[in-house]
Amino acid sequence: MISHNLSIFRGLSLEGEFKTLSIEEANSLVLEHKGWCESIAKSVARAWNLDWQMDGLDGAALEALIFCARRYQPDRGVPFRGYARKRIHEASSDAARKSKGWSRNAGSAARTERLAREVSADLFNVFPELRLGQLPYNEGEDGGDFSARFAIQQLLVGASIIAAKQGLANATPDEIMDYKSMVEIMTRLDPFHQLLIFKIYWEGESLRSVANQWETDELNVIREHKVLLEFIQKSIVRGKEIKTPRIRPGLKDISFKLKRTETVGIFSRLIKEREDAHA
Amino acid sequence: MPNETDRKKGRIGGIRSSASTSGVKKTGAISTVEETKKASAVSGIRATGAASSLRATRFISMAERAQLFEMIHEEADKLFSGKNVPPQHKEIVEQAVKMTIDAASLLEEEKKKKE
Repeated sequence: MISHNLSIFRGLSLEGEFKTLSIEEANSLVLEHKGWCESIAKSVARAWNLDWQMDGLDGAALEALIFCARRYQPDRGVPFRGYARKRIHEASSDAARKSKGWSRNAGSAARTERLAREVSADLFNVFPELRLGQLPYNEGEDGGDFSARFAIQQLLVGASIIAAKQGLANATPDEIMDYKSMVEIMTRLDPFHQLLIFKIYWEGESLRSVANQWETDELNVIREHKVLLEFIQKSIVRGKEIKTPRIRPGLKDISFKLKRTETVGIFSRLIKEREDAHA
Repeated sequence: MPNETDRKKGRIGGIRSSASTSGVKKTGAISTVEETKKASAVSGIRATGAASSLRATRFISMAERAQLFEMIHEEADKLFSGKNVPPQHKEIVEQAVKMTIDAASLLEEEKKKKE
């Protein structure tokens, strides 16, 4: 009797799990959203100067669409496009990075384009909301021009850090000193903040995974990252006189634990190691 | 009763018993109860203030794209006007952010809708 009563809740199995669609329903969902899915692949291809079909973005996007349609659980109340867009975008950009067109170009102008493409692809990992077609906005602002400008500033600084990281790996000898000055800005930060930047930009971890590792609220990490980008932006523009940001209360315990083992910041250590190697 | 010596020395000579309560008055009976009246209609609803904490993100539309590209150029000029960053760095970073905005927006679908 109890089990009968429970089963009347539409979409819920007895174990309390949400039901996926039948194969027929999932297939019709694929047909319904095929054009939309292709437009995601086309956007990615156009932005990175690739061919959406020749470079295999179409297949990857469609595969992701089929995967999402089969796993979609309508009773969770999330619209299908909201659920699937990030995954389709990820699949398209992964296919783009693996394609022949990704490293096809040669020559100095093409070198800039190739490096920009690499930076752009990494930027999606730092700001995943971009995959949903959204700009990262400033907290508490009006959502208008000011917020858009703030988002652009954050993207530019984020891209600068990624470019510095890639530059240090691929730069010609005369370029290395220029990129070193960018990394030196980060050595002014607290060792804890240096570690946060290193984890996100050098180790490619998401803000969420860093928050999980540190067993803290994701918002703490997101807000701290924003503050750090603001500091780096001001330091690039104005030079050394910028006051370094404090560690927010929600992250202080983690920073204390870190300081027991690490007294020197990771970028400070990298710079010193490089200098010692050259000495 | 306190004697003369106690009064001079400032000592407490004795304690008098408290007076007993004379009586407690009854509460008066409720004279009348008014009928309940209808509540007046809601006169209006004011808009809520802007959310102060996390703002919702905004979708990038085709119309916004050109405006954002212009903004990227302006902000890149401001950011890299100093000496801290190599010259080719600006070009790579500016192009990368423009590519990201392009790859994030669904311009093809908007074009189809317009057609």
